[in-house]
Amino acid sequence: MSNESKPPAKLTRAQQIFKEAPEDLQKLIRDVLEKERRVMHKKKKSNIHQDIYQAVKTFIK
Amino acid sequence: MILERMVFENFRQFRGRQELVFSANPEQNVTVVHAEIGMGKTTILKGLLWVLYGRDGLMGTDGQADDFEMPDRILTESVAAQASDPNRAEASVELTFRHEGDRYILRRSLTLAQQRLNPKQTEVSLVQIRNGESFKQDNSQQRIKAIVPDGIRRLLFFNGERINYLAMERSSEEVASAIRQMLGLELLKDTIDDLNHANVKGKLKQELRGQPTSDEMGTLLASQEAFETELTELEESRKQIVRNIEALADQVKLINASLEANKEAHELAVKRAKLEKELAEIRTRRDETSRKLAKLIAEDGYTLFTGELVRRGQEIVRRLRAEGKIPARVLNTFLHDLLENEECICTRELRSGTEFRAAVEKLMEIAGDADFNNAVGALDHAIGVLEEGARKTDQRLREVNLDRLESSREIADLEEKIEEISPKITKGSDQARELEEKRSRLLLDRDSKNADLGRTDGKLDHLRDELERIKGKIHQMQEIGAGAELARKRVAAVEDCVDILDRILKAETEDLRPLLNDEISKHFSKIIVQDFWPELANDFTLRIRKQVVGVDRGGDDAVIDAALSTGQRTVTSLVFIASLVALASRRSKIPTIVKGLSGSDYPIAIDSPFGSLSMYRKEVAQYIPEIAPQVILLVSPSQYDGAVHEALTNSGRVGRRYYLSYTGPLREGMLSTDLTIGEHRVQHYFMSNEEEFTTIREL
Repeated sequence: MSNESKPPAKLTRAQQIFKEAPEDLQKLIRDVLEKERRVMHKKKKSNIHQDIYQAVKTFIK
Repeated sequence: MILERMVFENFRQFRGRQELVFSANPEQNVTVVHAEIGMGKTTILKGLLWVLYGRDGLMGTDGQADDFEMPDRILTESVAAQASDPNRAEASVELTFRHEGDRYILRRSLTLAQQRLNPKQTEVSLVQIRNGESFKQDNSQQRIKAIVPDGIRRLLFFNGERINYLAMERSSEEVASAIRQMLGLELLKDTIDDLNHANVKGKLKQELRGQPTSDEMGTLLASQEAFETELTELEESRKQIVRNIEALADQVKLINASLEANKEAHELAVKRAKLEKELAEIRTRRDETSRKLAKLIAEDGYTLFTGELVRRGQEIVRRLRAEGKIPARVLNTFLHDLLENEECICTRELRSGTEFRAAVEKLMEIAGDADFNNAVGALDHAIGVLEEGARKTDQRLREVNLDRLESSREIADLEEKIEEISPKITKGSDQARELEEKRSRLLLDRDSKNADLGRTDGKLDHLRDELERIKGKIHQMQEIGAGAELARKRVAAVEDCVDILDRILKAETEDLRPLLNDEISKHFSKIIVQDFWPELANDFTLRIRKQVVGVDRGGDDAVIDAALSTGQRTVTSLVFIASLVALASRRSKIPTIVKGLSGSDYPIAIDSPFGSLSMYRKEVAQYIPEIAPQVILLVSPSQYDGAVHEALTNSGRVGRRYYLSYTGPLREGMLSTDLTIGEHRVQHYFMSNEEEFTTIREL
């Protein structure tokens, strides 16, 4: 069976909430989560606040 | 994460190179290591924790190295004792595992020298192998913690006799944190906290400060409007004054005409008209001269202040010239050519080492190049231009000012002459006197109106300046307002993101709890078939609930928390871990909004899994292959024999078996040199008074 014939997977509630968010916020959230993911296991998450602050400035103009 | 192989080298009692290959087959996902108490089961578990997390991995929640004495002595004691070079004697553990389709090789080592200096400082490296290519990871420890977060390692690699604490009320926070970490929700919580942080949202809010209020802007806009209205009115008023002046001038013209027609006043009136015409022309000329003067000062006035600069410039150039430095007496390009051709223009040879060549080379010290000479020429010229400019400006200023003074003097003369005429006319006929007096009044009126015009022009200038200032301030405020508007938008975006992430976290948690409860119930029922059931409460407390018949006031049944035995708590804790691992594995197959929010496959390694189970040992043994995609059991014969052996053998899920053999002096309680594992009987004790070590052997 090809992938095209598969019915679309039902979204979870969390996915639905995310999908309903405005596109600029989706991009911002994705970017911030990526930044957090890179440092989440460090004891000291140096620069994360500055990085998030910059991300907000970059995505919200 | 699925473990493939672990290689010990001089790690504690595992002297030399020893390896364990784990069963990674999903159908036979269990690896069992058999060993008598004290032979190294716990060291295997600790070796796994050490390679993953270093010395931190050896510590319990209280920071103490439980079950592992002297955690700072990693290198095999006999190797350490015999080492001639402490930098070459080394303990290491290498772990090979698969994770999300890639293979990883993690190696941690510690030399004897480093162990003595600081055993926490280990050497660690992680290599990722993807499609046959190796990639060394820059931050190995960080990557490992990303794969198996700190908060869940105690749920994956643990002592089975100590895990029952999870099913206690005091562990709800650890349970909640483990759920968040294993299911990828901790990232959401951290992100929410960081977005709300003073250095993010707080900083953006600070940018809102200084924003003009609507009142301030309203006042400025009202002022602008008032000034504009006043300006329009004043301009209108000025036009009227000008019209009045023109009307007065017309009336004066008529009177002048009447006076010229008057027989007695005729001559004087004509003379005055002529003088006034002349006066008007000279005034025009004087105004023009004043404009010329202003222009001259604005454009060339600066040259008058360059005297000192020109003097100093001339002095420097004069000195350099006197010293023969400018223009250069000889050009370096010319000297270069001579030296290169090895012949002077006087035909002397300039070969290397000759006195003539040395003389020419010495000339190079004072030689200049063409650019230098050109620059000096330009400087010389500029000084000359400045000097000439100052002289000309001075001369022109004097001439123009003289013109202006001459005009002023002529004006004063003419005004005097004109003034002398009026009394003469009034001495004439009555009509001439009346006309002249009327003329004088009109002239006074005209001067008054001219004064009005001057005042009005002054007010207009002031109003225009004020209006410009207010407009500037409004513009500035609009710019600040635009910045503040952006800051407000950003603060709102951060708050919206927090709200979205909060709702996602809430939805995920709410949706996961019943799923987890289902998993827990499903797993629990496989072990304990009684009239009580486990439940993960809203506050993530892991409880056992049971129904009690007819206990409430109405005689109805009631559901209460059951008091658990250690065995029941151990089973409940195991079931919880198994459920969490199963759910994490399921979640890893569901796409999420960003990588890292999902769960993953995790192995479970348990030291003494059957120690605290009492009557549930057989049921747990039947169930244990299902608790994770990969299970490693470190068991002692007393826990394994009988029901456990039977259950595990019947399950057909054991892929690999090992046992640990001990070489060393006779130990207390060691009754037999042989070990019986089901149908196998192996020698696991080799007596030696020379040495002491443990060997990993496959069964």
